[in-house]
This record gives sequence, structure tokens and C-alpha cells, in this order.
Amino acid sequence: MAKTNNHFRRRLTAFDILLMVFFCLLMVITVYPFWHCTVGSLISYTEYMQKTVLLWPSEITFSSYAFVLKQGKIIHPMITTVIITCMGTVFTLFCTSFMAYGMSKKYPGSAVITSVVVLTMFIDAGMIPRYLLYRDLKLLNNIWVYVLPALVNTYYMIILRTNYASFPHEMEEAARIDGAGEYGIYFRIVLPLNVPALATVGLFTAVGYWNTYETSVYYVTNYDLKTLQDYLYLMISNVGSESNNAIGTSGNATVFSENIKLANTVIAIVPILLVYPFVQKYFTKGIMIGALKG
Amino acid sequence: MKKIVSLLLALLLMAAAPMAMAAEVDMTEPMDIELMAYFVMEVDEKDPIVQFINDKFNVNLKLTITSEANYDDTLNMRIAGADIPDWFRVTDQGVFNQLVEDGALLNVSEMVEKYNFENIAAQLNVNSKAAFLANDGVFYRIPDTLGCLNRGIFYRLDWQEKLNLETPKTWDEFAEMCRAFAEADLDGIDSTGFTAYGNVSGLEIAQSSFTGYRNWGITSTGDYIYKYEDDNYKAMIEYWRDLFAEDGTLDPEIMISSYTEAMEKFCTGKVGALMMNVNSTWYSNMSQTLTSYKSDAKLGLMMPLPAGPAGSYMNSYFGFSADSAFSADLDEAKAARILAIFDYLLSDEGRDLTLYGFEGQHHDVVDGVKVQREETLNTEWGQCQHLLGEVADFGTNDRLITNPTMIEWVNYSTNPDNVRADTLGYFSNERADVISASINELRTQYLVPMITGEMDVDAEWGNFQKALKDAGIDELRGIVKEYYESKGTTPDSATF
Amino acid sequence: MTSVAKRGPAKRLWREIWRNRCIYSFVIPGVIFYFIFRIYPLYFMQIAFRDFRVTRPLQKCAWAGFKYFQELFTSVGFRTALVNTLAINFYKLIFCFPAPILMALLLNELKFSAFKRVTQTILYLPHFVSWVIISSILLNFTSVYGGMFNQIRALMGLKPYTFLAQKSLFRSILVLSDLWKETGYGAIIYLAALLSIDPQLYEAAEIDGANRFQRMWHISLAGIKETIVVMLILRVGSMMSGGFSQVYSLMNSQVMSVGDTLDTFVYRMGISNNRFSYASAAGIFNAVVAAILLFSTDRFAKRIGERGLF
Repeated sequence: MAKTNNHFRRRLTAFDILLMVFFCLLMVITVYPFWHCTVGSLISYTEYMQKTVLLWPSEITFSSYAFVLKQGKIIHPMITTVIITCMGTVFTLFCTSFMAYGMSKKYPGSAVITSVVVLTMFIDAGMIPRYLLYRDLKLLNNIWVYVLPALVNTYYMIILRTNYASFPHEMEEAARIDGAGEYGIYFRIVLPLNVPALATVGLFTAVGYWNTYETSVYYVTNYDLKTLQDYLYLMISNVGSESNNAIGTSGNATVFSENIKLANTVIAIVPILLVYPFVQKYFTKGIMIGALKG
Repeated sequence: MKKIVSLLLALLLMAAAPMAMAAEVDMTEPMDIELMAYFVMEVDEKDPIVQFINDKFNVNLKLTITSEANYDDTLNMRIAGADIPDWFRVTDQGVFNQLVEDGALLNVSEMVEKYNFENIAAQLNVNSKAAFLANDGVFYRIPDTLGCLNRGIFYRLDWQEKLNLETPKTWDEFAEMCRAFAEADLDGIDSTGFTAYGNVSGLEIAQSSFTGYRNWGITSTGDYIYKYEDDNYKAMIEYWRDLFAEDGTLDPEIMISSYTEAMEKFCTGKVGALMMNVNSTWYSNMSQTLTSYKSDAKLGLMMPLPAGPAGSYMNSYFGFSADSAFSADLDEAKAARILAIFDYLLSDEGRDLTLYGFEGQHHDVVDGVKVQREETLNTEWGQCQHLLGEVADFGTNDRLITNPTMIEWVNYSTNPDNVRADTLGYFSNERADVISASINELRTQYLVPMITGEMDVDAEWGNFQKALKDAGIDELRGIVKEYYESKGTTPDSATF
Repeated sequence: MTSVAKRGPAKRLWREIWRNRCIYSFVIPGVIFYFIFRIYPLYFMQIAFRDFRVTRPLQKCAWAGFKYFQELFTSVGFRTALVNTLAINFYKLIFCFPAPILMALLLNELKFSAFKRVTQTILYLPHFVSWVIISSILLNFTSVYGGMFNQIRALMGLKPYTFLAQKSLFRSILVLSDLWKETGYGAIIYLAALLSIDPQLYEAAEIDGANRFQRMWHISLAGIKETIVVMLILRVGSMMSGGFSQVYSLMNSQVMSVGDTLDTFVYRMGISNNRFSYASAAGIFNAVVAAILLFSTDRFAKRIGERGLF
């Protein structure tokens, strides 16, 4: 037995080493787009235009960032976006998971409801019908317009449903015999034991809310309620489009839309990067075993 | 007797009424006015110029601003929701016509006549293209002048000087210059001769000088002909094809560059000549970028454009601008007030206000000349003038042009002898749009491979013509002819 | 019991419903949500059958029957767009669908958790960079003026090549760039699924003498089978759409005939006239095909013994 434990835990095979080398190579290739954005946002337009591969800035300038963050106008959209991300993720996760659990059982009409729900993913009524609906529901220029229409996400619901369906039913049966009601089973057994899947969906949902753009553009005209991505996009259109200026100024430096686009990307990604390590700790196994044995 | 006298008096008064003075706009009642427009940035309601207008006209201007790319969709949603803004910019011809047809827009002509708004009346007549904006002689929108925005050819003046080249007078000479640029490679980075953006439409910078017209022409028999049907256009395609096949004369990526990529190539010395939009802001952008790349680089702008078989012509834009329109739901007092504001913005005083703002805040007076503050342009106004100036008349910013080259360009490009205009900019018809969309697809299907050499021009030109017929070009011809005849003009008249 | 059986199938149904009433309480709120926000707006699908104009309410727009569908199907370029969409999505199905699964399996095998976490974080980064920026990066790499790929070609004595303008390469470029961008992010779902596999199974298999690959195949892969099947069904269902940003950013006039997809085609054509009716007709067409694909794939999955989607 002791030998098996050691065998399992310590020995590094050639395969392991090869695997690590392979992933190192992959990392180098995959990190390039983000690296390109970081370096590109810190250099001048001339340098950006001249270099084809960005490896390291020869001269660092923060003028692109200064332009985007100018006068603190980014604060309002930032706050709005943080609020809807936190609030929205909680609501969406709750509602989506709630429905997913129900959908994972078989009951009369389940096939019909599933078909209808899945098909809504593939057909979209369009912007004008949505606008009219939101208007009738008084959601225009209202922070709830970001959250209410997104309470249940079909794609994530299907993922969670698949998870719940493959969850061993013995646990649920055992609990039912012990007298627990469906809600009790759901909140006390199913949810805690499906944390990785919930964390995944939570992460995806949060990313989705963080990147909200279209809703802000069309259904919100009050600048205090617009989202970060909308504000960042406005920065680019401020600085360059086919009929407008290609430059703006920030302090003494001139800035160009290409660098601004990259700065925008970095500003949007960095918070996600900071949050991800916290989410990763939910990606752990081991909770299951304890439950089964206990 | 008394009755007859009073009746006569009443009749006399009624007859005299129309000859009375124009109605006055009553400013006593405060009102809220919503203006919806696209602009490069958010405009604060506490903006000093907006406040000034608010105070002067006793109104409260509510601004709904979107970015240009999203404007059409947002406006459409408002219209669909039966919530048309009081005052808004019009961008889509088709939607505008529908609004007029459904009686949703204010009759501007009527109001202008009643209240005698002189500046607006002048604007309705501002140039020969303004007439195209009326619907059967009645204006439902107020024209806006574009200022000068068209396409030209920039090139490296310093290279031309170093190589002792003459400025090209014909397209063949232009090809010579491109070859010389590529061969000399004065910046030492394997430069090529010429690049453009917009694939075929970019290369159509040469088109008017081959065909003699912009999109539709008139043959010797009086028939309407579209450029793609013309053998002269075919000659232009062959010209570009031959150049593309040469090594280095044209940028190999010329058919796939976007405008930013093309501009970048020119400003970093990778090409010697560039087809690009020309207006004062673009001109100064490019000078600045070019000199920061290489301090002794010089920017040249080709004037006149090289001549083709039909002469030397440049294409002018006709339909690109955003006029203002107003909701028909306004009560007369409100409509009058809005138009009064508009009239003021079009006056010299108003234009001055939106160009220069207040002294010490938006501009400084240097040697007796007003100079805009950089800071204002970049933090409040976005580009060259205040939002209200841009909405009232985008072309106001032409008054800012001081660069001699640009002044020369404006003179060159506004002279009817040099220009071939596309006068269909304000035309919208459902069938015409559908057929035009198909024709554009055919352009990509046939003309692009013809230029790159993938498709043989002589062998396939016949098929191209047949495809055009199948797509409905004859029907389009009929529709276009009817439109021109209704306007009392022909496509080759250089009105713009 | 006997009394129930006597009353027939309708009563049996009601008893079933009553028995599952708790489950319904989980599902009904969601259904209401779907009804309000997804199904009710579908009333506007009528746009495809009317001459819709924004200035008139829907009811007042003239009925047009199948006119816009006809226009769509006979448009110049429609057939090309359709073929391209199917071809490109098919290639992506073959290459880009298995890739995240493979990556998840391999990531799962990594020994050091710190290394594993860092790798995961970096691998999913490209997902957040927009296609517009990725296309400009690609343009830089493939540029005729000193782009990396052409510099390599020069070293080999070859002439510069406009990679992005080549019809023969474009679909491969779409597939490869999609792999580059989305594999890492797509692997997360499978990683989460892998975590729900009982680790004792691995130990037991090892004791029984199974090697690394056998463990991967029989335990890891088998353990996430349901997830894979569901994702596959959804993937096939979306064969007619998807990838608009990517194609729009990377496409150019020289590769239009192999790269133009239905999404970009409808976007382009719809920008001109009456786009609402035209685009709406295209939307209905997409939805109908998606439904057909979904149900057929689901039937197939059930036939081979999987639970399927519906």
C-alpha cells in the first residue's frame, strides 16, 4: 500500500516532463495577444506602426492610459459595471442553477420545455422588439435592464443541467429517505457538491456581465448608467473613425486610436486576471469523496 | 348700413392679413427641447455654450448623444417606439423618405416662410445640391454642407524631389512615378509605389478620368450607362491589373488594406503614394505622423489628379452629411422656438460661437486672430467645433482652414470643371437598393479577381455584363432615369 | 390503485404532474422568464413576412408573404455564403471541437498544481482579446513589409506572400486562429466536468495496471462523456451561424468567395434597404435549420445510447 501511494504521488515520468514543455510552448504562443496589447498600449503610435512584432517597449509612455482615464470620467462606468457584475452574477447563477436542477429531472412536458428553451438560443427577435419590450417594462435607463433579461442563460443552464443529471442519485435518494424536501436536497446537497461547475458558470457569467456592451449602447442613454465597455468604445470613436480625427491629445503627447484600443483591452482584462485566482480555488476535487464516505 | 360696413371692414382685414409682417417667435414660455445627434463624445448639459443657448431662448436643451456607428439603430428604435425626438440628425435616406411619407416630419419650408427665418432660408439654397434635399419642392429637413471631404492622392514630396521627378500629368506617368519610388527605395525598407483602401472603390479614384462621369453617364445615343458597363471602365481595370502584376509598383496588399493600415503604411515609408480622404484634419494628422517618423519627409498632395482618356477629373462625395429634421408632433410654438435657435446657429454670430466659444475659455486671441484651444478640442468638443455647430452645419468648420495647401485643395475640388459628382446621394428607392446591393456583390465577385489577375478580363467581361443584366441593371437604369428627370437634370451635370 | 388505473391516461397524467409538483416549482419561474423575454418578442418575427418600416406599427405594414425569403435565397452571393458557412463550421467541428477536450485532459494530467494554475490562466487569455485586435496582430505577422512569416520566407529564399489574401489559406487561417483564441477558455468547462470524477477510480485503475493513456481514455474521457455529447449537439446545432466577429475582422475582398459566411453576408446586404425584413427572414431561416440540425443530432445521440439534449 505504501509503495502504491509513493508511486502515485512522486514519480515524474518522461510524459510529465514532455507535457510541461508542451504547455510552456503553448503558453508562449497564447500569451502573445495579451502581451501585444500591453506593450502596444505603452508605446507611441510611431513605434507601434513601425514594429511588426511587439516584444518590448523601447520607450514607455502612459499617454494612452491617461487619455482613457482622463478626468476620472471612467469612474461612473466602472462602478456601474462592478455593481452589475456582482449583483448580476449572483442573480443569474441562482436563477440559472435553480431552473437547471428542475430541468435535470424527467417530468411530463420536459421534452417540450427543453426544446422550446434550447431553440430560444437560436432565434433572436431583434433589437426593436427588445427595445419596445423594455420600454413597456420600464427597464430603459434603469440598472435592472442589465440583469433582468439575463436572469437565466440557456447555454449555462444546459451545462449545469448536464452536471446535475450525472450527479449520483443515491445521494438524493438517501436524503429523501432521511426526510429532506426537494429544496433541502437542492440547497444542502446538490449545490455544495457541484461547486466546480457552479464556479465555472459563475466565472463565465461574471465575464459576460463585465463585458456588457450592447445593452448599454441601445437601452441606456443616461451616461451614469453606461458600462465600462461602452465607455471604452466611446474613447475609440472619440479618437478615430473614418470621418473623424485620428488623433487626440493627452498632456503633451498625441494619442491614436490604435493604441487606445489596446489600452482598452488591457483595462478590461486586468480585473478579470485579478479575480481569477480566487475563483480557481473552487476548482478542487475531494469534496465528493468525503460526502460519499460520510 | 353698420352691418355692411363692419362686414366690409372684416373682409378688408382678412385680405390684408397675409400681407402683414412675418410672425414673431414668442420666447416667454420656457420649454424642454430634445436634440438627438451623434457626436464623438458625451456633451455635458452644463456645457457653457448649451447654457448660453438655454438662456437666450428660454429653453432647456436635452441632449441625447450616441456614437456614429450606433446612431442609426438607436434612432430607428425611437421611431419604432413612436417616440421621435423633437430635433434630430438624419442619416439614412430610406428612413427619411418613409418618415416624410408617413407625415412624421415638420414642414420646414412652411415654417421658414411664416416666420421669415432668413438664415435657414439661405441654407435651403446653400448650393446646387440643396435642391436635391427637398421632397417635391418642400423641405422637411435643413441641408448641411459637408465642407470638403473627398479623396485624393498623397505622396512623398521629398522622394519626388530627390529623384527629380515631374509631377505626373497622366495615369501612365503616375505609374512611372510609382515604379521609380519602388526601385529607388529611398527609405531603405523595400518600399512599394502606391496603396489605397476600399479595394475596387479605392482604385476608382481614377475612374472619372477614364469614363468622364462618376457612376452614371449618358452615351452618344442619349441612353443611360452605368460605369461597369462602360468599356472605358474596363480599360481602367486593365490599367490597375497591369500595375498589380508588376513587382513593387503597387502594394501587394492594396486590395485588402483597411484605411488605417493604408495610412500606417504611408506614414512609415512603406509606400510612396496613398489614396486617402482629404480634409483639413486628415491633412494635418498625416503631416504630423509622417514627420514624426522621418523629420525630412514631406507631404505632397496631387493637384490636379492625373488625367485619363476622358480628362483629369476627381470624384466628389455628394450624399454624405447629416441634415437636421424635426418631429411633426411639435406644437407650433415649440417648432418655432427650435427653428429660431437653428436660425441663430446659422447666423455669423452663431457660427462664430460654435467655432470659437468664449474667449479665455475656448479660444484665445492671438494677434487679433481667434485661435481655438487644443484642450477644448480634446476634452469638450471632440474635433473642430461644438456639437451645436456640427449639428446646425458641419461645414462651418471650413472657416478654420488656414493651411495654404488645403485652401488650394478646396478651390480645386469645388470647381465644377474638375469634378465629377455622384448625384444619387439623396436618392432612395427599395428596388434600387436591392439591385445595387447585388451589383456590389458582383463587383467583388468579378472585378477584384480581374485586378489581381486571377480572372482574365477579356474572357470574363462578357460574363460580368450578363451577370449585371441578371441582377437587374436595366430595371435600375429605368428607376435612375426617372429620378433624374424628376429633378430636371442629368447624371453628367457636375452639380454638387 | 385499481381506481386510478380505471380512470385512464388523462388522470394518470395529472397524477404525474401532481407528484412532480416540486420540480415544477423549480422550472415554472424560469419558463415565465423565457416567456416574457424570449418568446413574447417573437411576435415580431412577423417582420419577415411584412414590408416592415419603423415609421409604422407592425400591424400597419403591408403583408409581403415570402417575398423577403425569395429575395434572400436568390441574392447574388447567398449560395456562396451558405456553402462557406457549412464548410468552415464543419472544419471547426473537426478541429476546434476536440481541441479543448484534449487540452482539458492534458491539463488534468499535470502534476504541479501551481504550474497547472498558471498555465490555465494564461491559456484562456486570448479569449478576451477581441477579433479586431487579433486580426491586426495576424496582419502584422503576415505583412509583406517585414512581417515575421515573410521574413522566414525570405531566409528560405522565397518571395513575400500575402497570406491573408490567399483563398487556399483563408479557411485554415480561420480554423487555426479560432484554435489559438478559444481552446483555453473552452477547456474550462471540461476541466470542471473532470473534477466531478471520483479520484478513487484512478487509483483503482492504476492498481489494476492501467497506464496513463488507458486511464485517460477509460476514466477521464468516459467520465465527461455526457458533457461532450451535449456540447457536441449544441455545436452542430449552431452550424449555420457563429463566428461573425472573426470572419468580419479577417475577411477581405480577395477571399470573399471562400470566407463570406451567412452572418457577414446578411449583415452586408441588410445594411442597405429595408434591412429589418430581410434580416428577419434570414434569422428565421437560420433558426429553422438549427432546429432541424439539433433534433437530428439529438436523435442520433439517443440512438447510440446517450441521454441527448431533449
